[in-house]
Amino acid sequence: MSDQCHLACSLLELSPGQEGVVDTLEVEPEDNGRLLRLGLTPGRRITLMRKGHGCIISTAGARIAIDERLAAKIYIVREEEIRQ
Amino acid sequence: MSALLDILPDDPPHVSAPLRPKTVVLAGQPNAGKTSLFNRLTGLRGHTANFPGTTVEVRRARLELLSGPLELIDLPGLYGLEGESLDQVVARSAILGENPRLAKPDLMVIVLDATRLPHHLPLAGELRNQDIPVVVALNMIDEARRKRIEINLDVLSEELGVQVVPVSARRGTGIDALVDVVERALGEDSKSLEGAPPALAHCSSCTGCRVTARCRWADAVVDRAVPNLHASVSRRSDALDKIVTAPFLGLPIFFLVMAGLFFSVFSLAVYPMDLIDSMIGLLVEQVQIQFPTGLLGSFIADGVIAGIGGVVIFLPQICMLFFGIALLEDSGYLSRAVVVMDKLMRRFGLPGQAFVPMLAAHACAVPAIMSTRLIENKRDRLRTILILPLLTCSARLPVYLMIATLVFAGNPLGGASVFVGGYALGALAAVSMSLLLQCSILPGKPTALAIELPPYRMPSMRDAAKLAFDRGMIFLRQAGTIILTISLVLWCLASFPQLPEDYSGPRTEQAELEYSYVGRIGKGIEPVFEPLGFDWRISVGVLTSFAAREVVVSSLAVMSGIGNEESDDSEGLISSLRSMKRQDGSPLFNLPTAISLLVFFVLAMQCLPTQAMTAKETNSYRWPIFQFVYMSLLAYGAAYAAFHITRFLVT
Repeated sequence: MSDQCHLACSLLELSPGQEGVVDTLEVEPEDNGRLLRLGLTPGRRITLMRKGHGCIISTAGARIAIDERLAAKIYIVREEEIRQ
Repeated sequence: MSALLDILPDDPPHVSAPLRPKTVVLAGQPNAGKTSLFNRLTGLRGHTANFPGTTVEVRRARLELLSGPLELIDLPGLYGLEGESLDQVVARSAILGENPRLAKPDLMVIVLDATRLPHHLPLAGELRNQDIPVVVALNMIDEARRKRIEINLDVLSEELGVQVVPVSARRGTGIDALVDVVERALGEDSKSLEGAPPALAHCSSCTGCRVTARCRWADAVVDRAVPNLHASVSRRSDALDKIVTAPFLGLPIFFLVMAGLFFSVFSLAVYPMDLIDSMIGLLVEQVQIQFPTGLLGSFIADGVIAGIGGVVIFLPQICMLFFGIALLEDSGYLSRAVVVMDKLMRRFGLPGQAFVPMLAAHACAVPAIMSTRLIENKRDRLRTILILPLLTCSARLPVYLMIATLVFAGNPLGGASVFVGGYALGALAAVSMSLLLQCSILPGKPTALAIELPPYRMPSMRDAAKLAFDRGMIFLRQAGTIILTISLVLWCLASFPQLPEDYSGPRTEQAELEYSYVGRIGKGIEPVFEPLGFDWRISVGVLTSFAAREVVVSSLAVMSGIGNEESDDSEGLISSLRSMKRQDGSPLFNLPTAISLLVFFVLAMQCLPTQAMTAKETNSYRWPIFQFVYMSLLAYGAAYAAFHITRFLVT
């Protein structure tokens, strides 16, 4: 695990199966609204299911597929860092 | 079906109490099972209608409850009131009562998926605050119980401040109870509307905060109402996702599914199409017996019946393709296919969602253009609409078949290559054009993928059949009227002026057509099509095909002198087409001309119903004109190139 992402790291830095909590969405306003409506709001717990083009995330019992480039701008606090 | 429900006939026998029907809307996220519930509540009698002032179709039905008439409307699925796709905008305006031609709903039934409560609750929180009495239908309760998701209905009802009714639209359980609650809520006159849950009331400044607050509230509600939620994660679904969206496996699976879909649609649609064809033949025969000579018989047989037949013949394919698409969508696979295709489609400037309309366009561009509504971004949607008519629709197939037999009779491989070539050229032209549009008048990258993957489910045949039927009716309404009109106009142009009394030559159909306006126009524009290797007779065929592309086959049959009636007899048709000669005595349909004609028909915009649909959906005349101009130029240029290249290769 990289040391750079101490507090919040990009969704892409998670490995499949890892859990975390959405911290911030640093995307274009248009995409921001779409992600929020899909339930990816700050504070929500997510699990990364699959990486690659079309990352699959599990959140609130739903599965969401997101473009890799969008996923790179979604910042997550890892589960283990929340516990600390 | 509920004994309480009795659907009003068209003219109700008991109009003593002229009550204004109360309006009840079904609202919820996509895949919450709204449409299944609507079908359960209304039986077979629901019908689609344009949402006032738009082209979006919504399902409506009038129900007669004990307390009075009721109008039930199934709104398009929405994720929130700020969604941007046409469907979501329509749903919002209905809920907020923003449409002046539609009464504000008296009651809203919010449909939630019990198996994905945390995901669906934020929307309920948002809709709950809209100043309309609300009843919640907790759908798929049977599936939730099977997954051992135990939902405390009292807690949920208390947190939402509304009545919650567990139902299973799929199985039909809880429907009577829901009707009961709806009826009582309507009688109470908005008493069921209490203040918003306090957790939702704070922070109303920015939309981002509001959504976040609603999600927090939803998570808190779920914590109380569904304590054991975590036990319910579906491992099987995730395992399946890994397979169908895998980098190397995803595409082959996708192509296999699509090949299966197309193979079954095209092989099964043959039977109803043959039936329709022979019924139309019988009708024409009857007309000819009733009116053996004269204009009236010809008008009915060649104008009206041929016009109707030209539309109805495509109905089986369109209905079956939409039935298949509905099954795939309901099963959950279609969303995975969007993920798989997104990477490929983005390279051509199209979003992953565009593949569903592109799939439908292989049956008919008219319903395909309608299904672009799920694309949120306007620019992406316009790009998709503009290229859809390039894909090979079923009206082109008779033309492909004619050319395949003409050029490659007795050579199945060659014949197949005509079809494969036609499909491939259409698809290639579509993606190239999309790229060109992206570099020119519609710049910008397609919107990044962000979609929900609904759970895998056993698809409902019943709902798919209803959707297929609806789409078929829309096609008949939109395309039918236009094609019939053009068919009648063409009949007039092809029948007048009639041969003069003192005409010396043989009075054949061919001579009549040559003398008519169509023949004259064909000769007039012959110089335009000459560089493509077409003579005036093929030019007439091209002109008449603007009613519907396949009309070119019967026009050419008439021009070749065998007459319209025998055009079904393909051997006769082909041999008589082969015998058509140019002025210099060489055969008309040599290889370069046949290839050129094929290329022209693959690419040309010869379908007025599609243009009318483009005008409606883009709300302007500019785009259908643009579509016509660019496709005509493209078809002409490509056919010209094909003609000269083939001629060069042959000699």
